[in-house]
Amino acid sequence: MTDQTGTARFAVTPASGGQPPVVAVFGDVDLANVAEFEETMAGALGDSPALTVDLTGVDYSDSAAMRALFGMAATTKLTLWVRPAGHIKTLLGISGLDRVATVITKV
Amino acid sequence: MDEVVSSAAGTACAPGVAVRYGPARAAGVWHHLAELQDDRLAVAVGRSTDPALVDRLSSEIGAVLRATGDPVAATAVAAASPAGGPAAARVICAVIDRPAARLTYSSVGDIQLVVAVPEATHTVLDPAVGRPASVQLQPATTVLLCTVEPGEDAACAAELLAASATMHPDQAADRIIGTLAGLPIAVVALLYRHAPAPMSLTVPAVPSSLATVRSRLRHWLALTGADSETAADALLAVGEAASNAAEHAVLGAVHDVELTVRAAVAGARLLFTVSDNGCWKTPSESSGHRGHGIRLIKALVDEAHLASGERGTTVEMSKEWRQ
Repeated sequence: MTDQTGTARFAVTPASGGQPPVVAVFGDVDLANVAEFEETMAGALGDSPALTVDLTGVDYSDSAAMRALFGMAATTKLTLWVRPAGHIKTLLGISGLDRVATVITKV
Repeated sequence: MDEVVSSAAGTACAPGVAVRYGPARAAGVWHHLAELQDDRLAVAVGRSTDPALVDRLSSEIGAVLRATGDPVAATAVAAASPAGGPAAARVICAVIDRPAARLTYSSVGDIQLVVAVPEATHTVLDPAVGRPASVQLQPATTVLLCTVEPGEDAACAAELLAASATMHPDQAADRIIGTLAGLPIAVVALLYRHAPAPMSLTVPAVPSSLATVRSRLRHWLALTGADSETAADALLAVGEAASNAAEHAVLGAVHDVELTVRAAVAGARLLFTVSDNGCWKTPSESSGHRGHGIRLIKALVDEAHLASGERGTTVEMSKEWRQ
C-alpha cells in the first residue's frame, strides 16, 4: 500500500518482440486522475492493435477507472493483469469489464 | 449468540471481539462470551489449576452471567467453589454495555484486565476482587482480558496491547498470544474493541477531495476492526457514491457544492451516508453513469438507498460489521 493516497503513477513499457505495450498503474485511480490514465493508455497504444494494463500495483480504483478501461476495450485488444484477490477483481466482475477484456491473474 | 469454549486456536465471535488460546491446545483455561439484552456483551476468562473445574466453572459462570448480567454474581461462583476455593480458580467477568460505553467487571484470584486507547496508552485496571468496578470506555478503546500472572507477564501483555491499539482486533490478538504463547502456562486472551466514534467529513464536491475521503475512511474502518473484504467493499461503495457526487452534483449548480461522508457503527452493522447539496441530474442525462455507480454500490453493501431532490442527493448504505 502506498501512503500517497489519491496519487497514481504510470509506467509505460513500449511494444517489443511482438508483445503489446504495457501500462503499469500504481496507487489510487479515481476521478481526479482518470484523464491522465486515459491519456497514458492512448499514448502507450500508438499504432498497436493491443494494449496490456498492469493493475497489480493499484491500491484503489472505482468505476471512473472502469469506464476508462471500457473505452479502451471498445477499440483495442485489451489485456488486464490483476492480483489474485482484492477489490479490483470484484470491480471487474461487477462492472462486466472481465467480459470485454482478457483478465490474467498475476501472483 | 452464546459460546463456551475451553480450548480453541481462535474462535468466531461477536463484532469487535477476538479470542486466542496459547499454546493451541491449552488446558485449564477457558473463556465465555454471550450477547445479553439491550446490546450488552458478557465476557469472562478463567484459569484453574484443577482441570476438572474448568468445564464446571465455565458453564456455571456463563449461566449466571447470562441470567443476571452481573459480574460480581458470576465471579462469586468461583469464589464459592468447594474444590480449593479462590486459590484454585482465577476468573474475571465483565459486562460491556455498548450503548452506555460502560465496562463493569469483577474478578477472583490474580488475573489481568487491561484497557488501551488508540493513542497507545494503557491502563491496568484494579482487579476488583469480589466487588464491582466499572470504567467508561472511550471510543475505539481496546479491552484485554487475559489469564497471565500479574507482574512481568501482565506488563508484557499490557505493552503488547498498547502497541496494537489501532490494529485490527484479530491481528492484535494474534500478536499478543504469539508472544505470550512462549510462556510455560496456558493462556487465553480475549480482546474487545469498542466502536469508534462516528466519522463525519465535509469537503468540496470536487475530484481532488476523493483521496481525502478515502484516507479518513480507511483509518476509521481500521479502528472498527472490520475484515479486509468488508473494509475494501465499504471503501469502494463510499468512494463510488462520493465520486458520483463530485462528478454529477456540481452540474448545473450555481453554488459551491459540498459533499458530506458519515460513518458509524450501529449494533452489528456499519452505516455510511454520502450526501451532497448539489443538483440532481436525471439518470438519462448522465448517460447511465450514475446508474452504473448505484448498481456497483448495491453489489458491494447489504442495503443501499438513494434519495434525491432539489436540495441534493443522499446515499445511505449499510453493511454487516464482519471481522
